[in-house]
Amino acid sequence: MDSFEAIKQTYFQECDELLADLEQNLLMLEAGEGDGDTINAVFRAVHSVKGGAGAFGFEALVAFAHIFETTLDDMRSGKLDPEQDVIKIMLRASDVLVDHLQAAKGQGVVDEERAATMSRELEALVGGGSNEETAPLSGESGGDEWGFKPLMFEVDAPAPAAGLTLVMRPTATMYAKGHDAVLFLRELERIAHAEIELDASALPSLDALDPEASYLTWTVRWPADVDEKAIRDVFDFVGDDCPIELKRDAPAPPHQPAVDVAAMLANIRDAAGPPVVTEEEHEEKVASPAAPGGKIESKSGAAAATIRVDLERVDRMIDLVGELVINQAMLAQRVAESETGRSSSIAMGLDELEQLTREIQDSVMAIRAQPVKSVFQRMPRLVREIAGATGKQVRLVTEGENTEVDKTVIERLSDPITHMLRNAIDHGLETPEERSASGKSPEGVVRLAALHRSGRIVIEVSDDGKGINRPRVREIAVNKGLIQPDANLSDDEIDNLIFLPGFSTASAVSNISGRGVGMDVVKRSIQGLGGRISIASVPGKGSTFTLSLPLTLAVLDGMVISAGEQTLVAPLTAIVETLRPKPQDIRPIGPNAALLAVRGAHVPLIDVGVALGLRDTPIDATAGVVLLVEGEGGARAGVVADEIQGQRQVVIKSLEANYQRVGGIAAATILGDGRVALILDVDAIIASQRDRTEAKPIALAS
Amino acid sequence: MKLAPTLDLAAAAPLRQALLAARGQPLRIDASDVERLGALCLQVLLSAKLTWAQDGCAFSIAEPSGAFMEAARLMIGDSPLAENGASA
Amino acid sequence: MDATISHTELLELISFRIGEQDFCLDIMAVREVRGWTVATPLPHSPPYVRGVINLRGAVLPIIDLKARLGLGETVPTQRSVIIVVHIGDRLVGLLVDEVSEVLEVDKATIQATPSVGCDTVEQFVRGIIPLEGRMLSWIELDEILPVRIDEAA
Repeated sequence: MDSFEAIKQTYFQECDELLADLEQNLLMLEAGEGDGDTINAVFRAVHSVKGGAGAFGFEALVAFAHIFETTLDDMRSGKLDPEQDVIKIMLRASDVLVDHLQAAKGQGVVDEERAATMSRELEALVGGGSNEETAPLSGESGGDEWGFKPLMFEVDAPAPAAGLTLVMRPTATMYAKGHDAVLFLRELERIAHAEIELDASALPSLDALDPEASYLTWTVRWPADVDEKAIRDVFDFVGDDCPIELKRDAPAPPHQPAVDVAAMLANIRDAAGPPVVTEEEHEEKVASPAAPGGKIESKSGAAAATIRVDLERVDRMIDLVGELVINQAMLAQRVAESETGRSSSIAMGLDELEQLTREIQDSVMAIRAQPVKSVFQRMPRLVREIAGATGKQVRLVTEGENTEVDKTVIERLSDPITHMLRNAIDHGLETPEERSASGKSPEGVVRLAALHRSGRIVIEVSDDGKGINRPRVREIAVNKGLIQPDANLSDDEIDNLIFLPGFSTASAVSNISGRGVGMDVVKRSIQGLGGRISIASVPGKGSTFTLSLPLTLAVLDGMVISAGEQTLVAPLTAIVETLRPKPQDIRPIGPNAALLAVRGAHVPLIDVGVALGLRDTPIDATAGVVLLVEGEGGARAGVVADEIQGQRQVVIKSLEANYQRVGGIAAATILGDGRVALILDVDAIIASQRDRTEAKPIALAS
Repeated sequence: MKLAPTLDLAAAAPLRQALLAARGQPLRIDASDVERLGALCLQVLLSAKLTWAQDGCAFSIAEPSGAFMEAARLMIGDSPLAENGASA
Repeated sequence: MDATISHTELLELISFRIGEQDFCLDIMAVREVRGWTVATPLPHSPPYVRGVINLRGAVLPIIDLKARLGLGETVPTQRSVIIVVHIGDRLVGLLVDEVSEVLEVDKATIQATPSVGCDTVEQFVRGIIPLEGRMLSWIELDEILPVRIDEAA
């Protein structure tokens, strides 16, 4: 059962990719960029999903995919024009197909009504009701209400009255992947009535039988002409796992139907394994006259380039390499402390080891790097749905979807992007009427782009809508007491007010952007990942949200500092500069606070030891060192520490895994001496300074 | 002996075991509950039938369900396994 | 508690010492026992949280069990050990003065904790086990950790 489950998971993975490609190709067709190959690819994707679904008994999925496939088949054969309206229906159909797949995974339910409506819409596209004429051809009594359409009848092909013989030889691999010969036979019979003959001559007696080996082969004969391609398509999904031979024989060979199984079994020999067709042989046979077999070859060729690896294994490796880095550092430190450290050959060996360790770490991190495509691909559907719900016309343009970022980051990108897109369409874009009135195209454009910039990934969501209504934003902020009525704010500052907690731009909370989540929540979740978000807007022209995140959440470039007896790590990204202040730069303010004058500005000084409760009284800032830090909100502060030990890359370890969140601390790491060092949460430390003036934090009582 | 409703990949090995355990005596298999019959289990059943024939024991499949009949018809052709009672 | 105790079940326990008192834990909860190493203190934590240590790459919180039980702060010695235990899905180290032995007791011999008018006893002692003139207090692990901030909020 486990292996079956594993195969099912593989099928689901493949489906996710197939469906993503499906949508991608449909979008290309919608944009008028596709060609015949694109249509074929679309057809194959749906067909492959259906094929596997049959093997696993997902009836609803098969049924819907079949209708979808039938419609696509019309498009493939040129009966149905891939015009925009048609593609739009198909895009929505692909959404329903995704729903069916999710339901098959047990991760959701299908909106039956929507699915049924979709089926009817698809069926309506098929040859203007001409599918009636093909229905009787489905031949058998089975309850196939859709009737598989033999393609040959549509395509104006010369029809030599010759039969077709297929020999199929399933392999054990095919069965192991969850396919079943009985399903292929059923599909084959559906194409047109066929005579099926079983060859059980290889079957051993029960004690010699391997229950998961393949002993049976079948010969299927169609007396009338049938489309070869339709037959090959049945096996599309299994490729080499079920070698087939297809022969078009002028005179249908007479054969004895109605095999007497008992008689047949009687003369079974203890034959060896199942009949195996070698690969060369197989390809030769497949590449017969019409040569549609090219697909199979290209498929196996492409498969060699990548391998599928369980994510857990990669994560385990990341963990191990993280420990290797720590161990290497510990070893280096111990050697340095000992007498032998002065021996140059050991030192050299250690240098090489360090080099190698870094390289391994980089390579392993690269394995986890993934293109943001997987997140971007989910967005067209979202945009369609929001557009539908708001009555706006939207075109989504994506750029840089191959930009790579660590998988820990990928997983967390989806929510903020979703929210920014909702916001752009719901609040940014105007209605088609408003747009026409202001001389714009009724269709709004939302651009979603990813790029690398100075060691971070940047995601931009821009719209060509009306831009931020600054007087309105200002008014709301004043009404909610977020700013003083007479506050003197730049345009940029006004735009960024929407990120303040408690601010919600929608005067009536719509059910699109509403959902109780404001931009402040988005901002906070992004900050939690060490990211920043900002907005730029031009009235009448549109707005751009810019989100930047570190490329990985597994390692961090930090500055190692000490305070009291403790060693701490400050994220390098938060540090603007480090300085040793002169006494005249320090200006006491109030009973126990001080400001630091730096380049004309005054920033509060925060003793990191006091902020973390490591000591009660701050050290003299002139005796220590000041890290000028900037929080995500742009607030600056001078963090006072005893000394700087150096810069290094550290492996981030969660405190929450075994304990819980700790105020002022973002995470932990393990240093070269094997001890745990805490990584500062710079924002929380800046915020703690503000809180301290109001109330001293109390240790959590239990 | 009664067949399980789902006779798929996972059911083939247990079915073979169950049949081997019943070897050496006449066997009547109740197929009334079968909802899915796959080729691997069919292999086991056909092989059992052969084995029983070699042993000189009766082997029959009784009360096949519709699904069993349909799958058997597809895979074996027009001579359903079930109709053909004992073949000893 | 008496009502729930079965008469034949054996329980495997690890016993340890804090000050003058003997305690024990269900051995199923114990992953390993290791020597004391200095912990990195955590800010804004209750006094019984000694800090965190590196356990083969994982960050392990250390609870001073003596302080947790209200018996004062442990002064670590050479014999002090950390008992690494599973609490739910978390791994936690318990600092104790010394580990005594592993023993098997019949569940029937476990007695309910008598009321002594002490909150920490009622909170952390599941029962008491008389043993060769001594008495072991059976520790309840579930409440050892401080309430998580996110849960408390």
